[in-house]
Amino acid sequence: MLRKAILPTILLVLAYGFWISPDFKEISAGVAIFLFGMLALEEGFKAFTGGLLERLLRRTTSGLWKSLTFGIVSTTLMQSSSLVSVITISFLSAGLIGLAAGIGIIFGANLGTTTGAWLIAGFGLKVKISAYAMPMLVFGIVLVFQKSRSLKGVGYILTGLGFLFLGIHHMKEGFEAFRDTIDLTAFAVSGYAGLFLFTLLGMAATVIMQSSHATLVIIITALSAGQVTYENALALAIGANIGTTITAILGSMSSNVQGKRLAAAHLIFNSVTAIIAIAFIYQIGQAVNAISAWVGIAPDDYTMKLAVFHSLFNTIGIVAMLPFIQHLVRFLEKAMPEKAVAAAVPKYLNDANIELPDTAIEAVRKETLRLYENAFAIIAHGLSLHRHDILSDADLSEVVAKTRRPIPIDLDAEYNANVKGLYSDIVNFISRAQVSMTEDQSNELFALRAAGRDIVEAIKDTKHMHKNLSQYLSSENADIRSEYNRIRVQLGEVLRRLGEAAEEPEDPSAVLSFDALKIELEENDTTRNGMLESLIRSNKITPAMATSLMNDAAYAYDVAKNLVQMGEVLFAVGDIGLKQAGREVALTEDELSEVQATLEEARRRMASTEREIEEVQATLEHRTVRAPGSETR
Amino acid sequence: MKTSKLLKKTEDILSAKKSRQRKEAESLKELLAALKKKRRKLADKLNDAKSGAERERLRKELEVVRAQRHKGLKLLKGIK
Repeated sequence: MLRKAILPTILLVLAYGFWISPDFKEISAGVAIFLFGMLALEEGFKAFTGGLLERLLRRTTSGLWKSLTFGIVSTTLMQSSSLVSVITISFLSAGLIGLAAGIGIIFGANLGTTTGAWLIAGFGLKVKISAYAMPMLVFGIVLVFQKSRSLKGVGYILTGLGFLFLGIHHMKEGFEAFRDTIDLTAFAVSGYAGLFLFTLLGMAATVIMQSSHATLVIIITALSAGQVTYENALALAIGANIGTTITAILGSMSSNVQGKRLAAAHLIFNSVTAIIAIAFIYQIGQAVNAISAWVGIAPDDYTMKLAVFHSLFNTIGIVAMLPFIQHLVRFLEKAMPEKAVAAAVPKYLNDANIELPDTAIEAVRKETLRLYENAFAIIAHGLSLHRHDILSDADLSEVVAKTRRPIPIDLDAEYNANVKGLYSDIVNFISRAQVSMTEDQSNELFALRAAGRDIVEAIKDTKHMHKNLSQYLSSENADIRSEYNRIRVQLGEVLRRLGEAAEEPEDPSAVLSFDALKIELEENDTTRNGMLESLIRSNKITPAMATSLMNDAAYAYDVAKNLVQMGEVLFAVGDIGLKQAGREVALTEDELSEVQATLEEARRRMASTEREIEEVQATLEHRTVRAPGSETR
Repeated sequence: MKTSKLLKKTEDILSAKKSRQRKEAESLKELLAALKKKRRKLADKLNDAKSGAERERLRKELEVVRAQRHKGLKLLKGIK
């Protein structure tokens, strides 16, 4: 009920305010334009998340100082600590970065966001900022209509900046005009009471607008127009710093525990910083005066002094918290433990990851990998092979020869318990994630969905041949047993090779080695290489056995084919461009046949050369034998 | 820089198709470099291989890499 009443009440209050004060209308319009600018800016930066941001994040977050710098630089460029924290939560939630790196970025973002105050106080108020806004908007919109995603992104960024500037201009104008009618400083409260009251006000304003930047612009423009006292402005800035964590908290609601831990770290950091700032407000104020005098800021230039204060207290917060970062990580891991996720329950598919194409794709890839891990166990046991044997260096022929007792497994029950639900969740997530993706990104998701289907098909085919395989494993007929063991070795080898490719995270050509595996599969296919006919002709297996073997060899071939197809997608490394290049270079069936023909030809030539050598050797031997015999002539 | 060259360069930067092709070419070059490295490794292994089966397997892999590189180079030429 209360929730339903909030929005109409806000709208009514605003409408009443607009009716009684045109200046209030201008200030509010300024805030609205500013917030719209932030939205455009976010849209623009999202255009660069197709690999670039991911690469940057991976390269720049390997150490604490690197992640801190990344946080400072990215927030300075994007001018939105909220956006940086939401992106960081998504990346953390998708497992692209660790918690310590995420906290480092958040700390850096807190310092980076203070550059906004410097820009507004030092540049926005000193020049006619709207003069810059107009060309930015025009150039921006022209670029927004371009086909290229990058140019579109630049267009949105320019438009966003244009709107930010325009919003600041209107707020400034509004507050200056306001000064002539009402003096808001009459409501100023001094001392600690004022400090707490205005901290709360700053917090509330930021929670409502979900942008500390917007609050700071209001504070600075109001301060420059003399509508708020310097002391109260400092408190408002402290409040804005706490309020800004709301975006991260909201963003983490839909993420996994990793994202929630980061949001908690953000709240702890900003609260600690605020407590320090409130507790030492007078000392920090003196330090601000000293720094301002040192850098040449006039004693009455309160807007610039506010910018100094904002940067100083955030720096103090970082200095105070940095030594405890590992303790904070440990505390958060203990306070918010990761619940053991059942094999069939998705671990990475959540709404926080769906926001950005990169994180959505990574989440699907990781979840499909989990699906494969579940399927690996089912297929291996279906072949009566142990996982540790497949993943070891042991000779699979020897391993297979030793086991004549099948591993008991209910493949249907295993499939329903560990695969079916997870697969459905992946398919559902993919269909929801495709919105606002480029063609390449959508194609990547389609490829991953196909990989999931290949995994399911491989399990189903394993199930089809399982009964016969278990039966003939202990058969007295050595020939049929040997044929089924051959199938087991072959599929075990495929699983092993897939595992090897998965362990080559740096080599983009690793998955291309599956082409050689495909040739091997063709050559070893019992139904095509004449082996089956030979066994039937020589009465080594019964016609019933032959039928079973024929069907199961076909199933085995399909299992292998599906697994290889899946591996080509799931174990491909690099960005989307590199993965696509890999798929283009992978050989088609015709090209594989050509390679096979070349190899066959080379084999024939080699055999013929060997024959010739043998003949020459025989001739030479013959002559050597005849030489002494010449006496017998 | 001549005006025509400057115009062509600007067009290259602004054209979505060209920028896509540039990225494709970069990815292909990276992949071809990795394949070249792999080919050398396989050739070294082939020289050291003792058993016939091992030599046969390596020869197969080498032939596949050769075909893949050939295909990749052809694709790269097509883009350029």
